[in-house]
Amino acid sequence: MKFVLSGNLLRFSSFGREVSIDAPTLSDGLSRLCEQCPSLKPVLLDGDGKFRQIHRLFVNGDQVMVDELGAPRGAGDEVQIVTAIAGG
Amino acid sequence: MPRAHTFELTTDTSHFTPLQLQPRNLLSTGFNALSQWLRANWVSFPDLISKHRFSVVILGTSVEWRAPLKFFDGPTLTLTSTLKIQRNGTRAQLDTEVKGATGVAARVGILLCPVEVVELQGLSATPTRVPERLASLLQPDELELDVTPRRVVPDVRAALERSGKMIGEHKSAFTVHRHHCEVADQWAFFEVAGLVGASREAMALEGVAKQPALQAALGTPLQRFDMELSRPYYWFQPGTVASTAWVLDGGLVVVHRLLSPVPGGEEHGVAVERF
Repeated sequence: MKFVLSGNLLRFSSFGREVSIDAPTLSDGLSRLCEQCPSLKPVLLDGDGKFRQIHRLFVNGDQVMVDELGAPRGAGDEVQIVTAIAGG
Repeated sequence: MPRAHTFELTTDTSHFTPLQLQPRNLLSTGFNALSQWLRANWVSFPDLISKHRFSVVILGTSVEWRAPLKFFDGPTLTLTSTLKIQRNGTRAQLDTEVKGATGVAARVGILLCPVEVVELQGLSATPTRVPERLASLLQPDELELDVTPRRVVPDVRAALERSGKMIGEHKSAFTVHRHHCEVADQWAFFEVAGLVGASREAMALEGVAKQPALQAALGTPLQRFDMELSRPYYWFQPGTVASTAWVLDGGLVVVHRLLSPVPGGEEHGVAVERF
């Protein structure tokens, strides 16, 4: 799958807007994304390793909820991560 | 009496257009007035975020121009602000009066949503109510918990749909760059006034030959600017200002929808300029 990052997340991905990850589910993909871009980990995941719900996930344009993170995903899926609110 | 914070601003030429106090600059100065009020009366903005994990995001603004004021009328402005917590602690309203040599030149309102800053690196946040430990630092008359802020933009749009006549439309594309942004790499709300103003000016310049009423969009002072924001734009996000010009009760009204292709909802906000 291909992760597409934007906005306040770019600083934590060395300004890479697209990161390709080989993973069978979104949950695995997020873990591997955070291994590949370690600075993203505390921003995207909480202390228990769970996806912070302050961000929204969209797969091929459709929003995905946290209880769907374990669903199988294809290699061609595009995953956008969008921060809902920033408190700056 | 709610505590007021007053400061004097020495003006420069960039605070004004040839017609009036410049809207983007008024909003920017109004936001600085918030920071000054916080520091003087509550907790400084940096400490509010870093120590209390608390901040505010902007949901809406309004500017009402009053006594005509131009650059050569005098060298200073005096700004006086009050802050009130409303809607059971889930909203805050900053009101700033801007006085110049000719009297009250403008009133600036900023509607804020309290948020909990969930992590400090990306400054990601989630809506909350003002926590008790912070509310207890305010005066009782600064807590209007049963007051719900009035929404101006939907009322104006409804009136336009009912009785207005559309005389022009225009779309302007933009990309959010860092010079538009604040500390969280999301756009600073006061930049909207510049972006929608640019769209309005382009529309008027294109259409004024066929539609003389559009001349007001270039040569008449703004009377009011109202805006509601529903989603932020972040650094490098593309957006579009979709503008429509209307005549309502003999006056010109320009409505700007802030759109983007980013998933999660096309509309990021609406701004209304009234002349």
